[in-house]
Amino acid sequence: MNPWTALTDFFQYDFLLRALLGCIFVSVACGIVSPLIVAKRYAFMGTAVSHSTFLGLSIALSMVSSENPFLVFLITLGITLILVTGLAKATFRQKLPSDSLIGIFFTSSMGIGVIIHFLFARQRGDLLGYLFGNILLLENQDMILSLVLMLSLIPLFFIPFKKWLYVIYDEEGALVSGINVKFFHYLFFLVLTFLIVSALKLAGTVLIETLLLIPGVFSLKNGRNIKQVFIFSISFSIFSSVLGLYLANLWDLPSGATMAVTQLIILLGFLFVKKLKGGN
Amino acid sequence: MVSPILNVDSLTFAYPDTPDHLILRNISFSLKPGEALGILGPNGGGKSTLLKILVGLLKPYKGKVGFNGKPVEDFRTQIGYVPQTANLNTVFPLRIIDMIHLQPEKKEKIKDVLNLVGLSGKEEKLYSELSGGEKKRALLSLALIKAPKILILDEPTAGLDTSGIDQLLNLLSRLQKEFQTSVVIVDHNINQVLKHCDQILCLNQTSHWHDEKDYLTKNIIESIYHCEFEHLLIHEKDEISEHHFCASDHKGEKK
Repeated sequence: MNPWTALTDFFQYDFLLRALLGCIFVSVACGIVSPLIVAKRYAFMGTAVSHSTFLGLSIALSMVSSENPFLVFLITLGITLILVTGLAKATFRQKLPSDSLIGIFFTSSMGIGVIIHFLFARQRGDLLGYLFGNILLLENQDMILSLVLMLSLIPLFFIPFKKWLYVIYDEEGALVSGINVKFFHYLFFLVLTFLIVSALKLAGTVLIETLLLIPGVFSLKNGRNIKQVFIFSISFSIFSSVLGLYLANLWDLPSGATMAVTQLIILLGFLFVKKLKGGN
Repeated sequence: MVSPILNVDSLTFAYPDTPDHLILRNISFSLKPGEALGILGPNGGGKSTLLKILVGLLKPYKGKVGFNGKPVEDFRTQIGYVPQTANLNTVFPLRIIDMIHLQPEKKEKIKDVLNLVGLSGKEEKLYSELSGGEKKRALLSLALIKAPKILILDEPTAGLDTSGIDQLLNLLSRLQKEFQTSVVIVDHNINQVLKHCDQILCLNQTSHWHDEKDYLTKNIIESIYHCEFEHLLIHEKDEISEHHFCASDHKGEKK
């Protein structure tokens, strides 16, 4: 495909415009959350949440048709939230190594999800599309959901911003200072679940993790202060995701996978240039 | 008569999943404004557990902890807590000024606090790029910005050289005298703790000793540490790099 045509396609076809807007909204949200996930060392937790959406999705598709995306979204979100609340409870200030718990949680919830889908919803939706993302599945409602998510995330993170930082920097110190650390722990899981469920069609349960991690790694490697970290993370997230979406259209590749690989290539490129310049 | 700021009454602690294994047994002490309490003892003796109970991170199994007669939850704004540097997550590029702004309760001026701890002019420096001594002082500034009535410090001298330790302890003495701040220190540095603190609490799991510092004898310290006092002092001076065993050291272990 001609590179110019691949670009103008976004303004000619409704489904591509929806994908572009959804991609920008989800990227802003991922850019905000990503440094927190990386700094809190919650990468594996993100994997658990994203994989557990699979169970929610299978139950949702067993109950309603995929032609009703808003209802599918609501049921998936509700079931995932119930599962994730259990995970949040099990991992809050626990002595047990949480990585084992998380591992058990996400593999078992995904396994049950596959069985439920196989038994009750085989004809109602292509699971592969939800695993790796498929922009053809995007509807206007998905775009609106992504917009609502992005708009609600901004005050949720930036109004109590110093409290978020304190909880990450020194959880015990934050507790002693009277910050409700438990509330922030649960809120983090809630936000993560909303974000992952609303990005299911765009990036898929497996690949959303990349969008949640790479912007944070990039910004924490390059930012010299907190403000820079978040500006870099959001900018990187938007630029690399939109570029990935464009390349997916140009070369007719799956959107989620192309976005993930584009982010990885840009990150590696930056790290390589930094190394050449003698940075860490 | 001045009433105590901190009262610990018959405190006993065990973790809920192992109620028969007591970490602390029947500990009582009190601390007046401007006084310093040093907590000594071997690793695993319950020092950090006691400290976590004092700051409200753990709940007592039995007994009471009161600050000016109030539970810790109602006194949090008056407690300055300085954790061990090892417990901090420094992935974010936090500058000293960012760190101080994390504290929700800011009663003192940032400039005054940085002057007090000797970090004036270094506000823009990243925490991760500070020296060990500067890190301790940065953490102290985060606690002092609250203008606390009681400062609780977890191994504040760990990793500091002799002059760093002197500077830190002089600063604590100044806070005690000028602002009547009470200080609780958990530390392995026996000499410095004995020199600086008015009261000493020696802990070894269920056995403990607490009274006036002058009554603390070599025998008491030996019984708490299960080890000869001179042996501990050798370790403290870092004259030997590896642990060695002495006559009364750790019964049953290889000598």
